[in-house]
Amino acid sequence: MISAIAHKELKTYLRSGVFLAVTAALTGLIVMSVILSVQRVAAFERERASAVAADRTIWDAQGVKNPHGAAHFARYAFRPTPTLAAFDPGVSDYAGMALWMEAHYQNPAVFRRAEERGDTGWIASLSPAWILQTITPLFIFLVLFGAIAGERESGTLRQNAALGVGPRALAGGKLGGAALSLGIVIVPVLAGALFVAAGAGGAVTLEDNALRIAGLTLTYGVFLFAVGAIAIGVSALCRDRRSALIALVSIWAVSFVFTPRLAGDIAASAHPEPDAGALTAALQKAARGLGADAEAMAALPSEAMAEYGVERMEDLPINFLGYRLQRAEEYAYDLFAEIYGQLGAVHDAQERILGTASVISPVIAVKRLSSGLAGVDRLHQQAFIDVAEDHRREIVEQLNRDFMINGADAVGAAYTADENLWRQIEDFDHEALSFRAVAGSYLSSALVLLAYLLGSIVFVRWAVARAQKRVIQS
Amino acid sequence: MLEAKNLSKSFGPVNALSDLNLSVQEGEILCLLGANGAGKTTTINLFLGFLEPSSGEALIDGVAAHRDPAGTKAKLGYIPEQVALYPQLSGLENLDYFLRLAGVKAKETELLEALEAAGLERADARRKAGTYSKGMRQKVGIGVALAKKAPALLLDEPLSGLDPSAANGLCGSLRQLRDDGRAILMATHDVFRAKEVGTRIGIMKGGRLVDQLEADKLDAREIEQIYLSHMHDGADAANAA
Repeated sequence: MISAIAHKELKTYLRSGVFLAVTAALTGLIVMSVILSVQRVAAFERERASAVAADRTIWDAQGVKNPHGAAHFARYAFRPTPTLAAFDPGVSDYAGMALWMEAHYQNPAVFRRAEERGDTGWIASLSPAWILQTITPLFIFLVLFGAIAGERESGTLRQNAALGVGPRALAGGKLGGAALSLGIVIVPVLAGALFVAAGAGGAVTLEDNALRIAGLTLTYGVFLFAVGAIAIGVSALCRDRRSALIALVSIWAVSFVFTPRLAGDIAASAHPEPDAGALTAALQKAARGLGADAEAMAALPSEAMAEYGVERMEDLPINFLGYRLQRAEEYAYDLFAEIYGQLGAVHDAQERILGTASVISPVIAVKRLSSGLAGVDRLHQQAFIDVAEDHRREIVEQLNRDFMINGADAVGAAYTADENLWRQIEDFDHEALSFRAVAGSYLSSALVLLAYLLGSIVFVRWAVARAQKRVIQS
Repeated sequence: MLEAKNLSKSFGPVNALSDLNLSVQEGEILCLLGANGAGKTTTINLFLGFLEPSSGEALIDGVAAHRDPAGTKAKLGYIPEQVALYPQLSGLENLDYFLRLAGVKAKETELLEALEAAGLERADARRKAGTYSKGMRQKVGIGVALAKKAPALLLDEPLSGLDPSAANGLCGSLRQLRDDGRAILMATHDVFRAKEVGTRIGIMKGGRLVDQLEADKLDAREIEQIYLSHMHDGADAANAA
């Protein structure tokens, strides 16, 4: 009986002008967004490759100077475009895409694309992910609002009950029919969007890409199925098609548009980030950490002598200034960790609020999962920042060590190096996180989505039973 | 085939049906006449298993409808006042779908034959049901009952709103079903149509079956007089009080 209902639903939808118009519009929107996103990501990748090459050239051509001066001249670490950024840009437009790997400072990431887009920036939000998260639920509601209310209005609900159709079969058939009808349109479009988007991003292993694509397909499949179930359930609770449409559009506006936005605003105002000025001041203070610590400064000569097994400073086989600069660098590590740790705690607190809000808005859970699977969330951004910081430390240490060892005979900062040293400094190379390594971080969002799926199925079963009971007793 | 035994149904303080006793045998059409609220539709709903009786039983082939809703529904055909069809599907596809819901799989030729027997032309059967008149929709309803081979039929005001030609056609189909051995219980307001198709006529008032008449022993005028006299009883009593 369920398959008979599902088959009838499929046939009916495929002959419905509304269904055809809505799915054509949805397909067109997704295809257009994929084209725009792929072009955008390809342009970013070209810019990044060009910037990386320019950074190398400028670095190598900086001329003769003290290695520590070169560490201040510094290089940039540019974030590679995540594999699936053309599908879901996530935080990538709002998080800095470059880090200046300067001596003494762990700088925050800079160059946010969102700041550079100007008046046409809104177009960037037309990503396939955004359309699937926000617009597709509306389209599903437009297709399914009459699923039960229409049958109730026309009288077929009562007739079907007289033929022995129970609520379980009706709910199952309606869900199956909706999933089939929408699935034959959405699944190929989603799969196509993912594969095209995956081809536009940076290189990752095939296995990781496949895992992420499978995860995204499952995430959106579960999400949109739950949306369909909610639509059918609400339709069952309404007396007629008109009130079902009004109810569903209201739910869409509140749950899929306003709540995610409001939750973000509440999270930001409940746990505000420190302003840029305060952050810069804290970083500068950390950078001067050793200089401001008179006791540590005073202990440095004896520590250096002990480390190199000499009793007099003039017997040190290294340049002491280089040694002090490197120790100052290391002294600041913990201070930077504390500053960025506090910032991370603010972000974690904001995430917790969003996690709570996802209970009333499934789209928040989907956004978190989607951006994580696409490699464009805060976790992946943090991985880039961490790797860039490690690289900064390696560069500065390499330059300071050259100063210490090869500049042992020079007085103060008189020692200089040239492009032979600069060329030894490796380019920044960041391999994106493997999804397997971070999958556990998305468990809570996956569970929320799963709860939505189960809840929506229970809801539709209950609502259909209620509608049927009302109609047969009327 | 259809039997009500001391059947009653109350909705809170309101007695919609009180102590109804009736039976409809194979090859019989019992028409229930009565004003709105007389209990006709409640009776049909009880036979359909849509309502649970407050007392008594609505039996289909000896089985109480509320005790085995699925089993008893399998033996019933139901035609409401407005047969509702899916407008995107043809009459043929609607019939096929309703039969599948009833657990019956039929070949296309059988479906077309059933619709033809119900009075729907083959060309019309392949047209989208959204273009059908009410009479054509009712014919599809009859077609479902025919193809389902349901031994008992429940009809709730099936002639209401039909033009005379369509109503004549439907009455002809009902007589054919009766002659084929179906037991038919039909609720109607129309005394003359009841006389035309009914084997017996039951008059309901205030949830009670107040009279049962043999249709072939009275003409329509006499049936109407009896019906009206029952309808005016209450008013007269009220006036006398």
